[in-house]
Amino acid sequence: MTTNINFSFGRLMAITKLDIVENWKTNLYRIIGLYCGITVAFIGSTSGYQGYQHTDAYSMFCDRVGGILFLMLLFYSTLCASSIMEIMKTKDMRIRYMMIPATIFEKFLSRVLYTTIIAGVFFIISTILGEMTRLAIFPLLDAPAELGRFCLFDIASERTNIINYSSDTYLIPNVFHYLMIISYIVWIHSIFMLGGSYFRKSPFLKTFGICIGASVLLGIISANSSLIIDLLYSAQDFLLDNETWFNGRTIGIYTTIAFTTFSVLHWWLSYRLFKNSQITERKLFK
Amino acid sequence: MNTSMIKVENITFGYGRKNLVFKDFNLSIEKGNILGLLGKNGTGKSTLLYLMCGLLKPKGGNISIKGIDVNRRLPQTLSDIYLVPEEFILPNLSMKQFTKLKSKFYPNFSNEMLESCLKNFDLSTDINLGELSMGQKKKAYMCFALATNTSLLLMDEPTNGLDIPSKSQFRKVIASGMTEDKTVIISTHQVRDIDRMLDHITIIDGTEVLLDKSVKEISDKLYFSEQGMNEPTDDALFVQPTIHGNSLIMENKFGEESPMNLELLFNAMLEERNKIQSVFNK
Repeated sequence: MTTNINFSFGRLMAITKLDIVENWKTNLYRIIGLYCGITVAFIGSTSGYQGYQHTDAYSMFCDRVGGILFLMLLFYSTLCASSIMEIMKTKDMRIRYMMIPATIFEKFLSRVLYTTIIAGVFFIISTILGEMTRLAIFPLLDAPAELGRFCLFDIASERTNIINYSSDTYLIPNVFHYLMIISYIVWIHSIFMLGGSYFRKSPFLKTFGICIGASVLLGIISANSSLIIDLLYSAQDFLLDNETWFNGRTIGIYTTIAFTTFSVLHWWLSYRLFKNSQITERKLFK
Repeated sequence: MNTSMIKVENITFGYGRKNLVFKDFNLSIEKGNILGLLGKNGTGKSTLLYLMCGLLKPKGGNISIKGIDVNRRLPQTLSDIYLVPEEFILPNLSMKQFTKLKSKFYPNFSNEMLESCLKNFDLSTDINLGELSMGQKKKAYMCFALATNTSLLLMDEPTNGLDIPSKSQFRKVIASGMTEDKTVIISTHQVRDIDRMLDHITIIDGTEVLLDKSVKEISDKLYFSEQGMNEPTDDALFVQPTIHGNSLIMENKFGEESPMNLELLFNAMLEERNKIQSVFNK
């Protein structure tokens, strides 16, 4: 293993592998938990729904399951993002991880990979296993026969159609709409990543609580501040009078840039927090 | 020739704003020694080890290992240090799997040394780390630490949790793994467990170094003896009553050899530091 001070892909892979193998039990429980949740969602969406008798059952099924899977993925991804530094939860764990002979950036990137790509792989595996379970027990379920086929590709296609339809509705070119949605999701993810980097205990709940609190506070201030309301109306009038600034294309571009900028800021702050970590607990808001 | 492995220069550190553990603390440790870092509870022994590893950042001063600032946490430094903390977690893996995963990070790792150490501790190479008792985990972890062949090995209370035969095995294992290029720092208050294996003694008390001498220097300057109850102790630098009489430390005026009583020396430094230090300053 190289001991140079620059980035080493081999070291990065070794740390990631160490993380996965050492925590194999936790990873296995996570896959099992995901699998159970997804399987229940699949089976619950398949069996006993009277609405399937009156319409295009398969399309309706894909729509329902796609929505449930999307929400589950959103929740799961933010949960994983907030667990970016669970490897540093206790003093013993901090000693162990900080003493690994690798650069700080490699260790941080390894955790990012673990909580995004590896977590994503767990989700995909659980989803496929859940669907296969649904199909295996389909004869026992009270459902139309057309639901008894592999639906994951059709669900993905159906989700894509929803985005395309939304693009047409809001007159935003497809590519910018996709970029906007992706940058928004990445921004949400980065908020929880930042929360996970700061809070060592219950990071998801604390980050979620702060987001809700900030949203409520912002809403109250905005609704009760005549200055802000006047500013918003002025901005709206300006944009409506200047189509150069306010059309689907520009909305897509500026929104993407804004969300991406904030995401990068959150990632940088997360990295800084990790870089300055010590084995002692943080004093403020543990 | 500068043989300093570690240089602690003007370190100031505290866990809060008011209570400083170290203030302008200095220490220099040479390579090729087994150093005993002694002190009462709460005097900063573990903190000093963590500072040396870069796990804590000092408020002032600098710590360097082989000339490199430890706070940079460079891979080349971290791969040449190994810390065995007082408490640690081992994953639920076999020793072979654990070794395969972690040995990659230590370029000088030796499987032969690992097997030899495990054998000395009466442990098999086929052990599962998750199924071991606390003492066995400690022994297994120490074997891995020694097998990394790092230049600097730091151990915090290594004999805690070990049974009596294991403490003897520990001394043997450490001694057998030593070379001129290695340094082992053992932080402990269980001085009787390690007194026979040390080359250098450092006693700290709060923010200052009470004693920082090699065992040879201590033996050259001080004479340790046991005397009966009624024998005179006027010339003694420090007297500690025992069941059978008194344990004494005297100035070694005649160059006599005596087995070092580390526990006695430790207590003497806490109670009569000026007297003892004046002997070394002559």
